[in-house]
Amino acid sequence: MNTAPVIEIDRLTKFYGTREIVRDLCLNVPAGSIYGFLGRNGMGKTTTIRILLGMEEPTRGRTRVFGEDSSRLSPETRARIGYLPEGHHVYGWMTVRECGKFQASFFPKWNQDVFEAVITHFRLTPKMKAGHLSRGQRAGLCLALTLAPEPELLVLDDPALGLDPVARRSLLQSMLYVTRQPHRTILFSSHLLSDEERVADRIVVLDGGGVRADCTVETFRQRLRHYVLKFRDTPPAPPPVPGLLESFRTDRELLMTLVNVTPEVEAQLAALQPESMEPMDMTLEDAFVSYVGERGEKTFFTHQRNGHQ
Amino acid sequence: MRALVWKELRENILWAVLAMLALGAAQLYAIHHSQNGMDVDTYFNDGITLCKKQFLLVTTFGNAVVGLGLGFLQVLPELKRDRWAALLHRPLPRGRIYLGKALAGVLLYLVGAGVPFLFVVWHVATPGNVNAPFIPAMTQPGLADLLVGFCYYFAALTIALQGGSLLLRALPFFAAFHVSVFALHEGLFRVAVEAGLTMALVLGVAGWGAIHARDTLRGRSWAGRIAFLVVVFYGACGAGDLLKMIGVMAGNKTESQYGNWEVLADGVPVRLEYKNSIVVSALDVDGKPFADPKYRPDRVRSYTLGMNTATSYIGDSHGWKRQSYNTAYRQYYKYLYALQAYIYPRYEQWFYLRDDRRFVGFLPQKKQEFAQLGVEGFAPPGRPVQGFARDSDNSQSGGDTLFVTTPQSLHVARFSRQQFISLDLPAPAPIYGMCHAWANVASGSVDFKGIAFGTAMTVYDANTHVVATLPYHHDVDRWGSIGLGVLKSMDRFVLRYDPSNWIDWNTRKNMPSYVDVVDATGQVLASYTLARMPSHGDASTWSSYLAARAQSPAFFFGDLLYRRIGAAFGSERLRNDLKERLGRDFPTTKRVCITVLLLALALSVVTFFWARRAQLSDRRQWAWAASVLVLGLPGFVMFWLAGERPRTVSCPACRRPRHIAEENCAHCGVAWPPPAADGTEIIESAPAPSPVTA
Repeated sequence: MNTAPVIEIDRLTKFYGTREIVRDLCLNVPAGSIYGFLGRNGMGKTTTIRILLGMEEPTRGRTRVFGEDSSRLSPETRARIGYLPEGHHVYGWMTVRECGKFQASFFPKWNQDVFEAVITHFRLTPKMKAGHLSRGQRAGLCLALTLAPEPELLVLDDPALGLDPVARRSLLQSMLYVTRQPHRTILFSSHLLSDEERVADRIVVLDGGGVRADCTVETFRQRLRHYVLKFRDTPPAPPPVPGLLESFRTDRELLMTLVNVTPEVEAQLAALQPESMEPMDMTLEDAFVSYVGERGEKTFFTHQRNGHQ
Repeated sequence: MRALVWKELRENILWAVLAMLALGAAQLYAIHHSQNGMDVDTYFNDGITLCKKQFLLVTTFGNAVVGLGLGFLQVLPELKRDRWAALLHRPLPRGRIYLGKALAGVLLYLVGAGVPFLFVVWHVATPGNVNAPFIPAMTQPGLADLLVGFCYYFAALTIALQGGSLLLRALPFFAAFHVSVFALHEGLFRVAVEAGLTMALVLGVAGWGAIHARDTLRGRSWAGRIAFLVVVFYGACGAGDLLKMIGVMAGNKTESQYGNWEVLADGVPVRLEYKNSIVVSALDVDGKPFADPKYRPDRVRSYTLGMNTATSYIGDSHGWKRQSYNTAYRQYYKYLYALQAYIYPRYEQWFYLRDDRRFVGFLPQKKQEFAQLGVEGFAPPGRPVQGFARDSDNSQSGGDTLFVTTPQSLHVARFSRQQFISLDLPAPAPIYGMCHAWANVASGSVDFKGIAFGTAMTVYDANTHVVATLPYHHDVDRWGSIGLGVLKSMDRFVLRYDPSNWIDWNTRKNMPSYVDVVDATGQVLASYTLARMPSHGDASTWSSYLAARAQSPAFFFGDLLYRRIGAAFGSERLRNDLKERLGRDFPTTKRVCITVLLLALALSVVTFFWARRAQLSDRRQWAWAASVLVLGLPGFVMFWLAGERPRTVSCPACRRPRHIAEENCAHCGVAWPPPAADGTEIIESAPAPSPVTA
């Protein structure tokens, strides 16, 4: 027995050419937890996962899975990792049964009951041709192929990518149902927080190549605040307060989204002498979009106002 | 792994079957195709059955296309990121995944390319299908192409699996191409097969390395790295081969000027001066231009006499042995040659089987063997026949007549009558050689045979009558390379005496030659002394010229060493090659050697400074410079395309280029700065990890 994290990422940096994709990424994923790996497209989620599984070499830093260096994962360790890559690739000419048989031949701990349970859950029959399945069904088949070897670590790379909202929700709920098991560690990437909020114990937000947030969903929700400052006249420019994510000015209002708000920041806002200053509730989705979206002031009148100031 | 092999077979078997059908059809068509639009097997200008040019064209290119196609089809469709990741993420070492693909690929290739070849061999071997005897050894060229096709298959795997620039990825193809070119030009089947299999193995190992680390050599085993570098090296050579071939096809010849002696139709020698293979002047034995307008350079070739040499020496051989020129395994006349067919009293075609040293007769219309000829005469097909002696020689004359000589005997075979007659020797044995001669008359040409004895040359006509016995009038011990020509009147003959072959080249090149015009009684009517002119081969093309000088020093010296070692171990062929290079061709060899060394040295210096500028470690700078010095231009290409150069970005501290993979800047020593915090980070300490079984 040991208490080492299942996944260890230590100052991981990855360049493609001279373009830095991931920078000094540090992350430890403890056993039994479900980690949501979030970020906009191109922020390095898939790259990190690929490096983690030894598909790519890091430029600097190192990653370890079950204590083994990712670039030299032994077949035994690989058998403990279930990996569902984005795209849900299946061999179209195989039937569902053949897919299972093919996959089973590689994994010593293949559990046919699990495979059958999952395909039944997704309403698949063994004789169905994999090439004829819908995207949602294909995702279900891939999930069955990933879960049947009974992996201790499950790495899901944007499993709902490309599905319509209904199928997406349905798949995620099903996944939550079939994947959750005590002692199973799950790393689950997505570019939408709504995918993760019902699944993840903890989220990691990648932005600009590094970790910007590593916390629980609840903490994330609490740390982001949205203020509406109302003025009698044209609102002033937002002050450069720490934690300012975005602001929006209308003729009488200044709307600001902030993170890690401290009493000092609130005092700075109050110093603008608004008629009223109200914190407003944000949906988790809005909070996430503000958090990883473009920073700075957003207004229709930027040029005119800049001209006046 | 069995499941993986099954999956690969199942996915690609259709392509293999399609390739099999297409290749089989093309090979059958090539076997039976005739450019002349007549019965293909009557005219053997392009080879016979399995050695036919068109057939070998199909096997050379067809197998390469099938190998490449199957290799790409096995990898490229799966190479999309998610599909590839799904394939690789299995509890199997990647080497075994590669092995599974390769095993299946080899089987698929054998279906696609091997089955049609076997079918065609069976077709050719079955009597009644082609008008030529089947000799199992004639499968060698096709078999060599089949094996070289494996190089293309593994090249495709390596190209698909390898990352990097397009040029770098194209090099495995060129490495396979280099082997193809080598197999086309190599004389020995064994060597061609060894080269093909070795390169296939090297390409296979390079592909195996590439599946472990696509973009970098660092993640590969040493075997994978070395194999890839070897592939890059030979790829550069293959690219050079292609450029050379294009240059040869473009046909730009280097400037060349040389002279040669010919004999005119009236027996007078003429010295022809050539420039770029074109006659630019015709001079008589005194060095004066001919006054007769028909001897203008642009016309004189129409008036020269066809002469053949009967002997290499007369009398004592002085220890000299006839060079055993190993006919290349791709040439049909290594295995057999066809005599001229005749149609009276019936249409028959005879072949000489070189290994068995016997003749077989075919009825072209039935495509069936009907008789054979051995040392004891004619025999029906199927009966064991004793072949002719190893030192025998044969030459056809006037349709169905064949002269067969040994040093002690002279026989004539009349095919149409199936007679095999021993002729009395008109002069004391031994016979030193035989040549064909002919007189051009208004109605065509009249055939003669010259049989060289120790004291005279006897001339026979096609009816085996002695036309003349021509005693020698020169010192034939030293001028024993004797050629015969027949003048139009058919009662005048020309004997040309060149220095015997046992005399070494340096002496021989300064000795004159003689031409005597003699009548049927052997009386000399005119005699000429020809000043010796060193003969040269055809002018090489610019591309050949450059290719010789751009070759790797390792190749240049390695080749010489190989020949020296081969000669030391008793190889006649290698000894003769070496003798030629260091003897007759020494000035060229020396010039090429100097150019090769200078080029390698210059490139080595460039490499050193390039490596230094690219911030390679000192050890690597020197290692690359030394490699390029040894490997020459291909080595330089290797450094250019495959040499890993560290990527650099501007250092945030000192602004100078620094390696992205190094923790500290080589110039200022500063570590990479941590990502700048802007106060928007949400970092919450993680809960303590729960115990997990390792």
